[in-house]
Amino acid sequence: MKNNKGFMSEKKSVCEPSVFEELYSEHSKSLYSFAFYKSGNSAQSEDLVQEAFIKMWNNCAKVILEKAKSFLFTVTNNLFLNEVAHKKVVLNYTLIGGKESTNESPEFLMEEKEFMNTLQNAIAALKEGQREVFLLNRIDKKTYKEIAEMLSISVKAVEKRMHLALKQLREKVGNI
Amino acid sequence: MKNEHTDDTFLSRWLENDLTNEELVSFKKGPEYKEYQKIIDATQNFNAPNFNKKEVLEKILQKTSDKKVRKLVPNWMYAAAASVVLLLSSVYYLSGTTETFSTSFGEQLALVLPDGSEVLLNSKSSISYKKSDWFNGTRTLELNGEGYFKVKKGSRFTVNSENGNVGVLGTQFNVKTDPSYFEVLCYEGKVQVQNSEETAILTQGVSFRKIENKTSEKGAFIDSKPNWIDGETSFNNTPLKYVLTALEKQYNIQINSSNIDVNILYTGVFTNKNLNLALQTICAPVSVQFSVDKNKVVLSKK
Repeated sequence: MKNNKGFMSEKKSVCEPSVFEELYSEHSKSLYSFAFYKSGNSAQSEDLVQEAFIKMWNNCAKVILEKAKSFLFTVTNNLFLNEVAHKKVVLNYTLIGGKESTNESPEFLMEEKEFMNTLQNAIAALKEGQREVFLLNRIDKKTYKEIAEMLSISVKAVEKRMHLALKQLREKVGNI
Repeated sequence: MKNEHTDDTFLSRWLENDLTNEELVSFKKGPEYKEYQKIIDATQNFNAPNFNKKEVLEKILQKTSDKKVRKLVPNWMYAAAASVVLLLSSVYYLSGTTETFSTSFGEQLALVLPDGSEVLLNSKSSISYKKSDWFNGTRTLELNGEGYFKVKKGSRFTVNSENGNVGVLGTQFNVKTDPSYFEVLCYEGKVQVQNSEETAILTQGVSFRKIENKTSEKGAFIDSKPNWIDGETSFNNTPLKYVLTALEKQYNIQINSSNIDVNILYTGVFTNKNLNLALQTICAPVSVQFSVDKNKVVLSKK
């Protein structure tokens, strides 16, 4: 009797429920972050993730396992573009974590808060491509190489986007 | 010194600790270094957005569960299945296709659907449906424009449009759907109207209307069938722009209404057979002049 691990010559298929769930547990979180940095909307991001995985399932015969990751990101990107390309994205971050009590002076805290607000607005105003690269790197701690794979672009392009993002942020918030 | 880090990946390399010592030293001397460092420090406090991993997975599995691949099918079954597929494919070809019917400017079309229900399509409208759905007893179709439905009693009958869905069991009703205009009139029985925000049940002689983003309104009427079937188009307290759109569809004309207020409300009927007469009946009550040049009509204030 064949054991479906080991010497089966066939490759693992995305249609295999176990493979599918593995892919989900591996990629869903970053896919969600990716969608969130694009849309700034948690409900919409959930829907996008959901749709992307359903799409992969429905096309599972055509998706090669090695390409599954880039398939998911490309599909999410396209779905997003279809849905909201015409809307101006207003990002409403819940990114800033609540700070525990501090012994800083109120004045300092005020300034700090103002700086954070300005920074958030500046991030929201970034071009989508730059914003997702910047946040995936800073928050989700993805390397440039990982991001490049997600977005199907070169590492160099990721570095350029990162550089530009940071440069623009400094231009907007630098003098505070 | 300031311009030393202008190559287009400098800051990325800085973040990855990928700068040469000299580069780093001169960068740190620059006035901008502090500001960059501050931004990067600030991002350390950012949290990743919360993701309901489990919940979403459950939703996905729910939606995909009915399509799960049946494993462990003996190989000989494939051979048997293949021959059956050949036989069936012709049947599927006939039943799986999408039927579409559409009308052009000024046309009307009467259709009998697979279940015996009747549809009258007004001008510049279209419906489409999947034959296979109707064989399985799901009576669903897509509508663009305006249509009058006489539904045979039976299972649920649904009209989908971009503005909302209308579902019934057996009745007569009229649906008009434009990108920003959605109107349903119930002539017999009961109709359920559903859009993203609300659900309404209409009884005989009740209408439902939603224009753009305004709140929907219900109204009453006494006609026993839509006027457009008899070659007239009627409006009740409708913004003029929708009246003009209907006129354009009916006569294949282009109306220039930039000089008049198209938001005034119009109540009245215009004929579908004579453009001049129709223009007169629309323009006279709202004090507007018109001039016709081939298929272009220009409206101006009196």
